Amino acid sequence: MEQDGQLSAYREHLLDALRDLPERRRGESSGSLQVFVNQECVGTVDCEGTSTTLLSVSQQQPVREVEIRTAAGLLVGSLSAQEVGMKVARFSLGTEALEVSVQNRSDGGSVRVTYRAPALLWDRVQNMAMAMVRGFGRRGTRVLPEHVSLTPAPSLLLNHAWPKLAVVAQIVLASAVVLLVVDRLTDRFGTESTVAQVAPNSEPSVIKPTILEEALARQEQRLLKLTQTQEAAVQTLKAQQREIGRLHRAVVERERMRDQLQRLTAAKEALSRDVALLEVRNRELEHGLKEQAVALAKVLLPQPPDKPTAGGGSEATLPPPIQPPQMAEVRRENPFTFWVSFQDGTSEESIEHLIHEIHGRRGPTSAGWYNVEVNLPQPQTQDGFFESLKKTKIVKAIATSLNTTPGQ
Amino acid sequence: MAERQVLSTKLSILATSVDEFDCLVAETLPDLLDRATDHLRRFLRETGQWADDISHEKLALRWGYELLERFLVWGRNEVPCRPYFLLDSFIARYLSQPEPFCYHKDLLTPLGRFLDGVTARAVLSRDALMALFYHLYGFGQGQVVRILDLGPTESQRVYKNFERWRRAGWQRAMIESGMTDSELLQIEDQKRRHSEQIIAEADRLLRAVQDHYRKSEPDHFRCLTRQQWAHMFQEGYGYDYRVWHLALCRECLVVTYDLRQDGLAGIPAPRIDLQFRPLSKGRIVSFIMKYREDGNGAGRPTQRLSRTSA
Ligand SMILES: [Zn+2]
Repeated sequence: MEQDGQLSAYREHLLDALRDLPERRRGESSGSLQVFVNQECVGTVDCEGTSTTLLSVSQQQPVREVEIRTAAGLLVGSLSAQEVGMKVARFSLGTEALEVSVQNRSDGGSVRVTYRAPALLWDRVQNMAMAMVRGFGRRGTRVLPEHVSLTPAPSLLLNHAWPKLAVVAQIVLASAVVLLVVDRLTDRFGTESTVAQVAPNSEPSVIKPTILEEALARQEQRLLKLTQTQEAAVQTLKAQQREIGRLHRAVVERERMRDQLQRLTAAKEALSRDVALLEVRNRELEHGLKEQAVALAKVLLPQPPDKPTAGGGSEATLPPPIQPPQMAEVRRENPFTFWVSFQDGTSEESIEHLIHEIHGRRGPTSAGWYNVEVNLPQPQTQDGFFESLKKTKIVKAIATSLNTTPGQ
Repeated sequence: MAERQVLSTKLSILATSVDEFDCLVAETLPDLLDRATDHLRRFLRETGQWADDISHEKLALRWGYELLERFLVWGRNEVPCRPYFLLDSFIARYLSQPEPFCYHKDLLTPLGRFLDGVTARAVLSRDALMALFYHLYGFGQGQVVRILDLGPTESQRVYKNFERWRRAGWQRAMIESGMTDSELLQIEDQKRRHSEQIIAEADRLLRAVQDHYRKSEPDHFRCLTRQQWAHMFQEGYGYDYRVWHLALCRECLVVTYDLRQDGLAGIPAPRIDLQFRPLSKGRIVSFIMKYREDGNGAGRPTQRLSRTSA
């Protein structure tokens, strides 16, 4: 009964932990992510900073599954792959995006994890650039509906607004010119008529004031008209200035975007160069590894019977020995015998346990000394082996032979 | 009867988008957990690894939970799908892999579950991976940095969020492996009273646990020869390798300690010294001060933190 309670409490805890997952995932800062291939960690991808980072792994087994986890172990992405073929998946982590691609061939599999930050910036700029190119190509008079529907980014709208702006500005400019011309014409005609009326006539003075008044009134009107026209012209100019300012800003924005685009393109090129370099280095390393394997295989081959010494001859024909020569020696099964004595009061069981642990075979026992034969499969020297054996609590002393004084 | 009908309706629901998948699994979480647990119970039974007791029930629940956690993320890439059937095939696929379990009867004891729990967590979480050095051998952060020969950048990277382990990670690992407070107290008491016995027991279990979780797949972070380790440390590469493998392989940890013994004055050889609870913050500070003090006094053995706190 109590056990049932314990079990259901445990089940509830686990369910809570599962319900918590989306919340925890949101709360986690990415930092660096761990990549697991077939449930084994193969490395980490740095997700800080603004650069694109990449992890590429190849192996001889096919890739069954890839998991992406945060440093705290939280699973944020998972993908299972086909036996042969390619599979790609994208995971988004807040504003960041991770692309995982798996490629399985008959001779093995590879995984590529690409982190892009900040996500979408590159795509957005690319979209914008494409829209701009098309926009200019069509002289900016037609709207590009496919792009408008794709990405309603503000900068993109600006991009479409700008051909329209040009049209508006042209209309404003044209109407301003027409107004000025009209004004100029009416003004001149008016002046001429006044002069014509005043000059040839030397009429009685009674008429004069009327004429003067009329002239003054006309002039007033003209002045009024002129100021009105001027005002209109000023307004037009101001509007034009505003339009020009906006156009200018649009041009500056365009320049800025072009710069950004160029920088990004350059960065992308540099990146692909780096990747190419890395690939070269990778191939070199692989090549080096193969050579090492060949060298190792040569060393490991038994000496031909006609060569009495294992000396310089074989070493000279080897490619640069990357592994120390003693490695090959100890790589072979290296059986040897030694004597060991134990602390007083050590039980037979512990002795057996130790001998079993070192894969030893027991020989005769003599005056508290145990004869043991071991193989050292690891490239460990006898000295190294003795050193670690001496560290074992129950071991009192070790000797290579009972005739000589024991080493310790 | 009605229950059966509800189940068959649930079974046939199709998730056509990621959102629908998320919604559907969130609504049916308890059913999915029970379903996963059922599969694992049956598997254990069929492979002769079952007994009708609470520890086996806990084991089935824990594995069910872990698989379900994976499924919830993995399944989002498999829409459109019917989550119930997809879960079945996901578990079947998992169980058909070679050695899908680390079933070891002794791992069902509190000590076994503790070791299994922290190590299983370490496979997934770097915080837990670094914490293993402390929980298994009592090594503090400064000691681990020297043993692994990490530079400032690497140690900053691996220990950056270590506080998170103390705060939440450890507790989560304990909850997930079904450890209760009284069980923790019980093994702590055992350690106090029968130290030798528990070390011997842990030694035996740790071999099985580490072998399993290291997976020993040939391509990544496998055991290296003494020479290869020496080369790695001399040339200063493979930091991920060191951190990952040495946390999960006691033999190699001993080898690398041996190799670099001269530079590790004051740090005792790695021996099992179980710490069941995370290192509290104050102790780390006192450790760093101690470490600085000892920096000058060459050869003077630094007292191990675990001893001062015991
Ligand atoms: Zn190892």
